[in-house]
Amino acid sequence: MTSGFVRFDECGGVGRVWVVPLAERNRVDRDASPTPIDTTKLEVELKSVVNELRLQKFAIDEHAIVAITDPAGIITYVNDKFCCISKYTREELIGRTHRIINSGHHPKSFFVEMWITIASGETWHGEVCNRAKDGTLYWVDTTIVPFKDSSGKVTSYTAIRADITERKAAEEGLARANEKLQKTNEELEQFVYTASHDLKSPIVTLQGYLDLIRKDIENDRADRVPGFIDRLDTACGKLRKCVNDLLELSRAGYVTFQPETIRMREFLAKLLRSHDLEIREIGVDVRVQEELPDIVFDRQRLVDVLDNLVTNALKYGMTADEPVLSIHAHETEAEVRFCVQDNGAGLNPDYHDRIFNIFERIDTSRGGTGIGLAIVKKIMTNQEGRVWIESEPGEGAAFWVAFPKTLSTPALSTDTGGAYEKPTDTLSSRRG
Amino acid sequence: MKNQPTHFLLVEDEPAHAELVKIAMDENAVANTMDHVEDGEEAVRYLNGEGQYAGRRRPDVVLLDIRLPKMDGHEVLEYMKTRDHLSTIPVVMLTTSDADSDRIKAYEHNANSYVTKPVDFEQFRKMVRDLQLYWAVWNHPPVTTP
Repeated sequence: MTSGFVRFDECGGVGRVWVVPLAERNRVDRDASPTPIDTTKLEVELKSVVNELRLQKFAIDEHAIVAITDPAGIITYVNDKFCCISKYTREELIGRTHRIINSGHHPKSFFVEMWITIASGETWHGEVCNRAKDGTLYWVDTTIVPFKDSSGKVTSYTAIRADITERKAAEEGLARANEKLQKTNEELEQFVYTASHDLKSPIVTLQGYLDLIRKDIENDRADRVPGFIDRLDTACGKLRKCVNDLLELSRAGYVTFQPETIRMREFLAKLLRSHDLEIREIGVDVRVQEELPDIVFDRQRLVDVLDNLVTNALKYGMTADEPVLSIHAHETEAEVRFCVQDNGAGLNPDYHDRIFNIFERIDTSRGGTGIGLAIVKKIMTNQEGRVWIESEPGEGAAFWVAFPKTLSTPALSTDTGGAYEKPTDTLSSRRG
Repeated sequence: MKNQPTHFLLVEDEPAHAELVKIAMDENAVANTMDHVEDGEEAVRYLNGEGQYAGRRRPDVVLLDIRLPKMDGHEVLEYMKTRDHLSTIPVVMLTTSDADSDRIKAYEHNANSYVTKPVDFEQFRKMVRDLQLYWAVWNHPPVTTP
């Protein structure tokens, strides 16, 4: 007899078909003759059948996770693969029901339907999520075949399973990727809508006033022209700032994220230095907490987040007689939270959610584009972080950003300078 | 017929655009009056005659921008069209947005008209003139202004 078995890893070999050569059996069949029962031949045939079954069982055990239960579902047999994937010993499994590996993933109705099928003598097929002894979950493609005696009563159930955990993980990954893509698409639609509006609006101004200036010059009326030129100037500034901010926003979503450990004390000192001029002009009392926890984040994205919050506080929060800008941190089990707080006019809670929307401005007198806080929100939510505001009218505003501790922690970077960059154009227009 | 000129309320947050409308109206020399507010909440206060707007004249037509701070144009429109005392005032959406979503939403909330701002000033002036002529001369308002 030829035998071509190849052994492979104990839990491996998913989904392969093994053909066991049965030359021996065929030879016996061919030789069978219609003569009266020949016990020697019968014995040979019996031996051959037993051998064949042994080979088939071997082949199945090589490929599949096998269990046999009695009609009540009590396990009477498990193969090595069952023990291997469930991490239970044979002794722990025999005498128990499959409830021992129930993951709780499926509703009760799932198993009720399965039992109705197999108890009526039908084969059941399905994909089941199980829990191993150590708590890990695994998925199995399962076929349960009921065996019946001559009277049709079920005597046992044989369950043959294949490990499909990897396939399931791939499917879930695909579904997640799909969901993310859909979200990105919706964001892009919103982006195009708002961008097209906020870019068009200054164009209406530019063309309108250009036409008016031309007309006034033709009619020898120069008195209105300086005012019109101011309008052009303002519109150009808006257009430029809008384009810069849009670029910053698009970068927030699409640039690779390289987490590193950042020493916040040094980081904030450097950030605040870039606002030195405004801080001195306004006469702000800047207070930064002495001891600050390090965080793991992309350095440039962190600049975008905190710079926008500081800019926002300096622009809107400095209405008190003695303006104060305070930065402090709070650490929880899951997050490191930073707060940028001012003692200015505060914000009505009705607007708290809206201020993080793209192009939303509550106070139009300060000439922002309404993109800064949208950038903060986008960066934070992309990294499973959070941003929110605590404020009441007249009581200042506290902007919180929470960084999840789940980001991997590479070695502490000693470079606190190189990656810090900010477009000077944005800086100058902010002061203007 | 009418005994006083048609009164417009312009709701527009962009000062340059508001000025363009005013310049256009001056050039057109159609007899009408206009007040201007800069955000949605201010518009609602004006329409309700609250606070500083206690003595205001009830507008015959509202020219309503969509992208406004605090309360956007869609919200102001919905507010007006769901209040008995304001629902009959004609509302013209006057916007830079030609997005389908904005147009659909505006008519769903019973806007009376939807006009996009032309870029070219001569076109802009003609658009404003046509609005003035239509709403101030040809159109009859639902009730006599109180």
